[in-house]
Amino acid sequence: MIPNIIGYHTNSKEKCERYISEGIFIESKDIKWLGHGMYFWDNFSNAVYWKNEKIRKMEASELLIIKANVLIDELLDLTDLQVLEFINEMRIIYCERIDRRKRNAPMGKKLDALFKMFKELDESYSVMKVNGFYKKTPVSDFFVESNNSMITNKVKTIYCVRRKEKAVEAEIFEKEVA
Amino acid sequence: MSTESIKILQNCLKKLKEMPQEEFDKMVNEKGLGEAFEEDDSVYEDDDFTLILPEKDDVFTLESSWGGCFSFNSGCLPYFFSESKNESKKLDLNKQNNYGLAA
Repeated sequence: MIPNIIGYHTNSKEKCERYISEGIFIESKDIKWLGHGMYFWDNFSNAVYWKNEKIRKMEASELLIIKANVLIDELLDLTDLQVLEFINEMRIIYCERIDRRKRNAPMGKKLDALFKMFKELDESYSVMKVNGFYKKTPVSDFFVESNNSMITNKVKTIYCVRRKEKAVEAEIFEKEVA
Repeated sequence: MSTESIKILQNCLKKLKEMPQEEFDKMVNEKGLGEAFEEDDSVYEDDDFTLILPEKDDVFTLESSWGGCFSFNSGCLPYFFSESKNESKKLDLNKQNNYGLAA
């Protein structure tokens, strides 16, 4: 039994279609999030949000959303405090040893560097999970009216798939919307 | 988190702590890690969201936690433990969190 989640990826029509038809992995060269990999949202609404953001910023007009099974048997879960503490300590030590001025280097670069440095890390973890805090997302009335400041809708869960075999049964989920 | 997972992370951390600086520098050069820290080549704007790993001292536990929900002080992000998962014999694309055999 392999644990999985349904992930949603937003990208250009061309890239999405090539991924579906030819299996060409859409690998982001990110440096600020979780480094190299194909990024998936954990629900469709978040994928739509990202699509709308891209359109709003006029970065693209022909966008599609892919749905896939993301296999998380080799998951580095950065929402797990125990995992976080290890990675954070590694991050601090690594940055101090390499160059003190680079302590504030983008997270994605640091994670990529750690994966390159340690073969066992690279071989053991194929997918990373993290939460992003979207400060511009308005707080839902549901949470405001329930008067519970601990619950929020400003957090979006993101999966970074580092190996293409961990995203399977992909299909176009929504037709192109200009 | 599995015991094996913890061991992997522990081992990596231990290696990093104990590695002589000369060996560390050599590895950085061989793997081209020194060049990875140029901060200008970002492909993303940073006004959309932030990913922040909290420092240990920043973390505090709520008195009434919900499924391991933790809240952090400003500049950090709240997050939650993974949801429970239901087992399923067959992988179903329409259901989240199913255990199943990959195609």
